[in-house]
Amino acid sequence: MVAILIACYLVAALTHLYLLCTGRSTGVVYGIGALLVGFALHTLMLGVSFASGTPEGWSAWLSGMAWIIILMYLIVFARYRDIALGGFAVPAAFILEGYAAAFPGVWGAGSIAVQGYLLKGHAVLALLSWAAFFLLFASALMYLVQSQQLKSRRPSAWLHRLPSLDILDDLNHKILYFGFAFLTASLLLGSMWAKSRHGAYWSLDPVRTWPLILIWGAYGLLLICRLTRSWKGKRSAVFSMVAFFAALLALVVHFQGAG
Amino acid sequence: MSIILAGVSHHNTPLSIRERLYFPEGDMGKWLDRLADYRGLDERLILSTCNRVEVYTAAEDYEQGLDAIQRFFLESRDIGADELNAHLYVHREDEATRHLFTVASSLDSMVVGEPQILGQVKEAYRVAQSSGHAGKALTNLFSRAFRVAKKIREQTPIGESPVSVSSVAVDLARRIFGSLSGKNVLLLGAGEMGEAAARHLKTSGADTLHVANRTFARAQELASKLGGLALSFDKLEQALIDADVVIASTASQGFVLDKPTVAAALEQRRDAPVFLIDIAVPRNIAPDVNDLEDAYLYDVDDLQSVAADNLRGREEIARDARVILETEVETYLARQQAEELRHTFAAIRFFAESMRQEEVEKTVQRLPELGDGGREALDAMTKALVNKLLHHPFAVLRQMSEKDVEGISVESVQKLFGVEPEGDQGPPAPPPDESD
Repeated sequence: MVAILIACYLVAALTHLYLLCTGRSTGVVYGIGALLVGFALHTLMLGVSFASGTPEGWSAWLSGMAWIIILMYLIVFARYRDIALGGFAVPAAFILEGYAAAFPGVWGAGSIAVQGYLLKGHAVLALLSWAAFFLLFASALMYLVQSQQLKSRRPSAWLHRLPSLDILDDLNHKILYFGFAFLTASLLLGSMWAKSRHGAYWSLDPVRTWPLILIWGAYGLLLICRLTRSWKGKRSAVFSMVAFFAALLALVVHFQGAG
Repeated sequence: MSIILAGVSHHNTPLSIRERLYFPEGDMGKWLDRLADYRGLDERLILSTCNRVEVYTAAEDYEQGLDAIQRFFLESRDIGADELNAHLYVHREDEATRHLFTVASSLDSMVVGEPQILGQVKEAYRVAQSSGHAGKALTNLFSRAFRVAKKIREQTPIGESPVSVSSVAVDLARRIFGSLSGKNVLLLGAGEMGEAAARHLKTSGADTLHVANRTFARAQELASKLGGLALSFDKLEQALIDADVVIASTASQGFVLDKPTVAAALEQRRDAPVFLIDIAVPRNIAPDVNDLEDAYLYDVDDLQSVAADNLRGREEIARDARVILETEVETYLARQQAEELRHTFAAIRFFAESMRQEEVEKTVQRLPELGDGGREALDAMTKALVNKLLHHPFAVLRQMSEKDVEGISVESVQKLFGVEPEGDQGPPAPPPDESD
């Protein structure tokens, strides 16, 4: 079943890349169709593995991440009817899922044993927020390219492959809201877990907590700047992309501390 | 039955001659009836647009059919024989098929990929079909042409990029704002190109249009013409704040909008971008306005070079499209040939069977002593004889048509046996299915 799922994601990823790079509109139905079949299988598999006990190990979380990225992309597609974001989301999900399937126990099951509802909630919300930040990165990149195309006054064919500035800006805005809300909730649950475990909210190693708080602060700042409209389109897009790389770094530091 | 096409187009005929051959749309039924008065044309269709006038027919006899079309042009249009012969192109069968597919797919258009032609071809077919002038042959041909056109439009981006200044402006506006609904357009000045761009934006969904001009009366006149609101020039600053698209097309010698003015308006607009189109020569908007983050400024050169790039792009895409088209032409012709072969076989079988029955009947009458048993044996024997006689020629013919061997045509076989499989006796052709 995993093989069928990965094959579906591969077909969907290739179709989305093809559509994005050629700007053609025929084939959308195959890309989305393969994606929906894969997503249904994926949902079933994750459901079964959750029902039979909490999945453990990295691969289960990577697979969960892939599932969330696809879910978010499908929501965006349903809303905007545009496949451009899928050109990033679907290949990323394919790589995550493929990696999870190829190396099921690479770090050993239970290396991040997630126990208790607080910690589970923390982890699931964290997945949601990282998936959102990845998509924010992709749509910010598209915004920058599109705005550059329009500014140059000699737009290339990419002008028609990417969504309009208006859609991209709207997308950036909404993804940022969700990502920030999930990250906030995830950090709250994490600190509540720390309190219940160690008796203090920030009892963990500062190396583990501070990077995450900095990232939270960065995305928070971005959100405030957007809301007050002092930072607009391009600057906010650049910041979203930088923040994503910083967030990846923070995540590595966070787990290094855990290991 | 052969398809004959004769006509003129923008490729080889100047407008001064095309306009004399043009058939007005409203009277098409009448012209088709008139064309039907000429002998030898079984099916008829007239495609008349500003770029081409073409008559498509299905005829038994090529010479007679062509002669009928030529006489029709000479007798119904204001043109002499020499002039007509100098410009009229004639295609038949394969060439006619290829030509129609090319025309319907907009690969023969003056602006390659323009979308109107397919609608015009469909309308010409609809008129011919509903008035009974288009039968089975033209219906097969045209419904295939519609599918090929659709396929080419789906599989290549041929018609996607805009190729006129005002459609480039609309396209760019869409890449900035997504939809134009709810957007405000401000037109400065009364230049012709500005007016065209404003009209195009309005018909593409822009909500409101404000027209500002140094002469207020001129602004009012233009505003009422375009369905907008007139504005005096001293209210420009407020209008700039509200405008999402600004078209500058005044006769002013200096800049009407400079960087600080636009920057001030952008400040008030918060993060909403503004699209500025400067169609005036000399320019009306200072070029450094484009340095402002949310301002996208295009002057007439920019728009024209985008349009020219797009047109070149279309020519390239047209090469891909022609490959698809060629395959479609071959598939269609092969299918037509197979169909014709099948009809011919059926007709020969019918011919042989009725002759066999006739002869059996004669023999039975002559030899009454045969009885029922004898009659059955005679029946079986003649059937076997007919089948065996026809088996080999049919097999060879099928083989030859598959391998496309020159020499024996289906037509010559039809002549040989004295059969004519196609005709008007068949059931009326169904309208082509345009939904797929």
